Amino acid sequence: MFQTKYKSEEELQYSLRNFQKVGIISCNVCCNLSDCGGQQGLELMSGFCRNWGKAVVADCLIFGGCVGTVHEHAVKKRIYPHQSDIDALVMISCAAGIKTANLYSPGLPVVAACDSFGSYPLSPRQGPNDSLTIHTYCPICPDGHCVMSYTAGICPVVLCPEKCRYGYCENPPQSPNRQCTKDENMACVWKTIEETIAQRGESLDSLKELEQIHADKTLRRMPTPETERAAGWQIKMAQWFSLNVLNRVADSLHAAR
Amino acid sequence: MVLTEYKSPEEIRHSLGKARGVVVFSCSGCANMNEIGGRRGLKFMKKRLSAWGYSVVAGATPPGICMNAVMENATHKWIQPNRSKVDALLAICCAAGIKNAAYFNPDLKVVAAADPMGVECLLPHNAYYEDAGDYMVAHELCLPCGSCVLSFTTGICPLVACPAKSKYGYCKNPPYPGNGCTVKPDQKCVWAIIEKRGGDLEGLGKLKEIHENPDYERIPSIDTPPRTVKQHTIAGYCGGRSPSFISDLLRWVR
Repeated sequence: MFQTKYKSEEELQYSLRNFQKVGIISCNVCCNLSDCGGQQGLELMSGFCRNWGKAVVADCLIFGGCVGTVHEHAVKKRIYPHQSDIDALVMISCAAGIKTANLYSPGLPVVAACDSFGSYPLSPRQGPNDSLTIHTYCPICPDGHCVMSYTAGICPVVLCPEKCRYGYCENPPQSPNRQCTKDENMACVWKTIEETIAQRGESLDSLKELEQIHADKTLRRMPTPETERAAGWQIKMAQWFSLNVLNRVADSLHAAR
Repeated sequence: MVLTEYKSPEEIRHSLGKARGVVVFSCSGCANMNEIGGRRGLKFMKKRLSAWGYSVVAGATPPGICMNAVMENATHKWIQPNRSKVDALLAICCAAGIKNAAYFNPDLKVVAAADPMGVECLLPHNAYYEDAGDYMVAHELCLPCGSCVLSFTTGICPLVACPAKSKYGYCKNPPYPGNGCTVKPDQKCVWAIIEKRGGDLEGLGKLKEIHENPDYERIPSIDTPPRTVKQHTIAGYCGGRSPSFISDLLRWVR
């Protein structure tokens, strides 16, 4: 799941300073489960816009704001009929939804209501309280290379102040000390990783080999399996189903939390 | 959608190490939409694993293994009954799924078959954008920074596209109009493209001030009441045991 959080009121008001009549689009998947989007997010943002003196001319729920075909169908049905009355669209979604709105909106400025933070395991509110695996975001490494198969699901790139990806930094804490030498308020993440994987009979040595594999530019990613494309009628059915059925049951997705 | 791509075969085999019995979880969410997960990804990976000499004990295609409820249920259904034969769980998913798998299987080797590459617009396979700006909007990946400027840049992320990583306007050494980027002369200046598309360059100065204000306070997220254990269990059951044809239906959006 992808974590989004609202921007500040000040920033949103500033972004909307030149617009009086707005349309609001709210994503019903990740953003809904991050407690920003969905029907409730739409109502909250409509309230804010009215308080700021804006007229909300149209609104729209999209089951997957980042999915081009679904997005296109939803805005055609709900936003296009009011397009001449709208100055700007407020988009409650992650960055991919904002970009998709720029591609499919009828020449209107798109204002992002949220910021994107990273992918994370979606846990219940009274669920696991594990700050190392469950409650950290994956900010996505620019080269893509993930090392979490070797670190028991703990991402060292996020948690280690030195951003060491393949093992201890040059200045690790000496036993029995556990504190990070760069930030004394926290325990050394690599110490925790080493102890956790030791319980599974593994060691940090295999990360050194992994580093060599990642550095080897001759290695190629496995190709994706050949798949046939969806037919026109399949896309149309998916568009109709997501707009008219999935949007209505989207609230039940919260049951997963 | 989080774009995921397979790792290299060498890395997957190195990660599996001496494991022999493998369970495969192939996510039917983002990874399925990116053609590497779901039913097809599972079939593809099973074939590869057999060719490499591993024994595939079980395989499942839960939609969204980044959800606690789904992963917990899938673990009960597919791993626990075969636990004595399972040495590793191979997960075709983004990093959130790997974290989840590691949390719910603390005594099992969890191996990632894919890397997350960035947040993408999931466009139809035949989508084609001739305009350089539209192409950037459509195909460049978001590496989340937490203070988005896309409202002012017509959907082009300057952090990704600009070699100088200049987020709030032209860099200190902008090109003369019509010339290429001064850092990478073979590409057009991203900020010139943003300006031409009608980006709000004047507003970005004030936006920078707003973002840098230490008292920046987000609108709080919606306070929805927590669901009951029963609802949570039903959601996990539906996700963890969903039949594999569902993954093919989801792909109809492309």
